[in-house]
Amino acid sequence: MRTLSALTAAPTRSGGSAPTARRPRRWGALTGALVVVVLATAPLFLAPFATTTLTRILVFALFAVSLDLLVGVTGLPSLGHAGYFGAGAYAAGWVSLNVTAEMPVPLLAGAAVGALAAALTGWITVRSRGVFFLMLTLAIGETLQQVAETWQSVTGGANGLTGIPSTRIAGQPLTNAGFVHWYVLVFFLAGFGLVWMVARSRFGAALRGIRDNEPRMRALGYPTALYKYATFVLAGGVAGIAGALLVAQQRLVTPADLGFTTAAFALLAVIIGGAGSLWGACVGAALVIVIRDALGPSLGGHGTLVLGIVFVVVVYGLPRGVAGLRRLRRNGTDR
Amino acid sequence: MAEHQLITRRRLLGLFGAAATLPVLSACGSSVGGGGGGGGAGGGTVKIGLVVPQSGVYAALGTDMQRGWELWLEQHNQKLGDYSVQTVIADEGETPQTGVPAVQKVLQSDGVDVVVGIVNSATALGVANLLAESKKLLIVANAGAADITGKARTPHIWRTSFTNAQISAAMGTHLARSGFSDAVYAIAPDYAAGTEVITGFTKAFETGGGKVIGQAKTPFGKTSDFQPFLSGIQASGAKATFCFYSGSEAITFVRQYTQFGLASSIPLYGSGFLTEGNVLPQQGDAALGVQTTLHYSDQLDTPVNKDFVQAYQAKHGEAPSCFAVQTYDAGNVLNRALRTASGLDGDAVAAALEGVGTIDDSPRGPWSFDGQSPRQSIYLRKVEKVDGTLVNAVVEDLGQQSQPV
Repeated sequence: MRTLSALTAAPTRSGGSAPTARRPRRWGALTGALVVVVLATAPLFLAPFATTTLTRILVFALFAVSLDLLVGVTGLPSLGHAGYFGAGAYAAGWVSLNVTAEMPVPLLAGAAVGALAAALTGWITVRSRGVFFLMLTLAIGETLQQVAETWQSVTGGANGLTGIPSTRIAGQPLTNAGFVHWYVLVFFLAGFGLVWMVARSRFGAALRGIRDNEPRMRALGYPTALYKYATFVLAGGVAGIAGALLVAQQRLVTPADLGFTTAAFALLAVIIGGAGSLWGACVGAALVIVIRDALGPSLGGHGTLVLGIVFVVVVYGLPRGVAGLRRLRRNGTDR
Repeated sequence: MAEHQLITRRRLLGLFGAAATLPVLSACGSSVGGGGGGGGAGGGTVKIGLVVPQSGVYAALGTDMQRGWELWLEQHNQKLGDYSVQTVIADEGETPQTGVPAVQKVLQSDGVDVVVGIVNSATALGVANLLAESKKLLIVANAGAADITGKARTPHIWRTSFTNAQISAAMGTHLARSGFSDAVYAIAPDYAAGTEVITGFTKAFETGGGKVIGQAKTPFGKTSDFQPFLSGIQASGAKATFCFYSGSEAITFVRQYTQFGLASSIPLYGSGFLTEGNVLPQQGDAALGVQTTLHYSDQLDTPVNKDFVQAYQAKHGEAPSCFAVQTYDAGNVLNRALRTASGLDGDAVAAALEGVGTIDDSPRGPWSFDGQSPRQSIYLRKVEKVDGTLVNAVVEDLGQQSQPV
């Protein structure tokens, strides 16, 4: 399916000027605008628990989108991405507790620490591929979790950082679920927009080229390791922002937030949604969070089982995830 | 073929969509502006959210806790005070990632008046602001971190279980005066609760004139081979070992301690969770002779406990654990508090809890609240075989203890 030269395949995929792609794109923009309006007005007609669940979905979706930049766009399946999400969350939490919870500070701290952690570890990981990349990222994720669990004076150990004050905007604390939702929504959209623009840019096209055929890209003169490294750091930074948003929402960080389960759930969200399609990752994240947080508590302990079944069904029924549905409809005889 | 598949996929997506809207449909209202409290307390009904693990490594504890809660209600006409009880059960899972949303769900979506349960300490600490905002009361029926009712205390979180250090401090005092004062080795997993247990033990032990000659922290939840640590204990010249393990780590540690040949030369002491509940039968004879401290044993020879054990055993075919008792007692204190409480909000129930005095009909023996955590007897127990079954026989009542400062 991806036998076309990567560079020519990329622009057609993301719209380009091909007449066949124009109509869906307009519809896509319309749907996108509609979704944003619904998300923005949701707190007005949803009860607090539903709003909070929606906020959690946005946080997890941004995290999944940053992972999708690695997995779907660049072809780097990371099992340790939660490490950067958690590092950002811990940074934002620590700063809120010990320095200030005034608006841009925790968020910037989260982004910076997420990117920094990715920069420090990424140099080793991006040089490997396939199963080795998988194992290296897994090891890094586990190491970061171990650090979080044992560095008691900074991370609070296994009990995590608790009693984190609400994020403040111009001195006003954000305690109301609706306001927190809007705050998270704004930065979700900013983060999503950033990743979307990167994926659509020439840089993004090169990344897809690397995903499809790295030796060829290298032969064409692209410094592929550098491209992958830059993407890894960017994804770490966006995951860090998502971590900071997590803290703004739940005002709590524990080692579980950067554990393997979190990383695996994010990968699950990306796969359910369809790797490479950023909005698909958001749909996947929504499904994971709804099952885990909203339905899970009442399923008598079978929440994870349901997620597992959904995963199996998706892998068999929708090999390209939810995003694959749209493509099928657009081109009925795809395969 | 493709057409046919398309339909199935569409249907599939529809199914996902329907599943996703389910919780949302039941959740209309508004999240902006005044956050009106949950459903009013009319009709003499109290709604309890029982949040216990039904999945993950703590699921067995969750089962015991649910049984304890249900037994209390069954023995008391499904009533707490004059209120008839409606219980909503939610799965706490393993970590705060699942625990916090579960508490939030029962508070905001089910509108419960009181939350009972919580195994994970991080979850108990993490839900403090949720309870403060919704002005509801939480009775922690397991989580043992000191901070919950200590440094991070909030007026709406009370506890009917124990504190990590409370249990180990009693053992520290006991060992210091039992001829082991010059050489004890302390070992525990490397995480928050392990540190609290060892600190509590060491403090009390050293106050009694004892000396910890060696200490080890094993990677939490990841250690399956304790041999390197066991040879460390052997080489240290210790006269006794004090340890803190629970769940599957407790099973492997006790077994390997005996297999390594240490049990006969360096007796093993521990915090009671080492041999409590369903780990004991799996440790088998390796556990014989292990001595632990805990606030309960099903072997306690009191009429109240005998009745309790009998009722529990008749229903479930096994002896109750301390986890069942802690939740049973959560019912007991709520029953007492709701008789006098002026309402069902957090402030009213907390005020009533302050006045409940001594709980004199608990299976664990009489206890009372000191602050918001129990002051209770800690028992020295020894694993023995009675009629072919391993039990924690009570050796001695080490006296009433509060949460150590």
